[in-house]
Amino acid sequence: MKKELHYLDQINRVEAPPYLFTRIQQRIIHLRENRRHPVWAWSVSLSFVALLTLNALVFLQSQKINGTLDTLVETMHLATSNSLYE
Amino acid sequence: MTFEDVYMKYKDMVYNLALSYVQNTEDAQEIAQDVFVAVYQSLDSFRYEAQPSTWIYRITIHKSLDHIKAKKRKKRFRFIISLFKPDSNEIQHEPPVFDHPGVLLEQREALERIFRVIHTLPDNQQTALILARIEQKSHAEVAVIMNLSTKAVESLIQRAKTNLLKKLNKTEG
Repeated sequence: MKKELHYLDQINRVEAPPYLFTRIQQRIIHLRENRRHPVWAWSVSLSFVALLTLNALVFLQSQKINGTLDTLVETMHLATSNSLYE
Repeated sequence: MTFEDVYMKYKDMVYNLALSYVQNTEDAQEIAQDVFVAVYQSLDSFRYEAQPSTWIYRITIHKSLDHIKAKKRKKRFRFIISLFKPDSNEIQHEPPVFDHPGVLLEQREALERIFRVIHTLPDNQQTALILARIEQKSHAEVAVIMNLSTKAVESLIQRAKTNLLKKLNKTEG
């Protein structure tokens, strides 16, 4: 069994295939092409923040409108239900 | 040193070390590609505090172990899929192909068996054994590459050999 372990010392060294460098270059080019530009990343995150702010503003505005509508209905004694026989 | 210089100097070292881990030309080429892409990405930040060869050895070791783990994960996933879909093509477990171009034909069968057992050893024992026995590195060199003391490497290699012989005896018996 110990003799078999000596086979590990007898493994020959081989050369890397000649096309390996071309493949690596292709992967590097692909990586460079897919890399996002920092300006692009910033503009995406800024537009996301702007969208969130806009949503919050619209929500707050609608709350305000609801408040004024309720006051108007109350002062003018308007019916809030569609039922005619109440 | 340009990337091309680094590649020309270390391509065989990387390819042979990857082959020692996976014993398969296709996988070794994939690992070598991963290694050199990683080298390309961090070549500018490399400070030359360590030897470039040590740095590249470490990257190759990490990439090889990651590759083996990813393959095992895929195999497990395919097995789970096969349990739910008995007719699916996923059940076809392809056995690992032993295709090491540096192995002599008459030693192939024995080495295939030895490597099968080496793969069951813990990562650090596997690495110490590969660097010392196949890469023919001294214990001091292995210690630098693995960032350990020489004593720790000696004990790792001793444990690896004992485990290897124990497991080989078991498979034979």
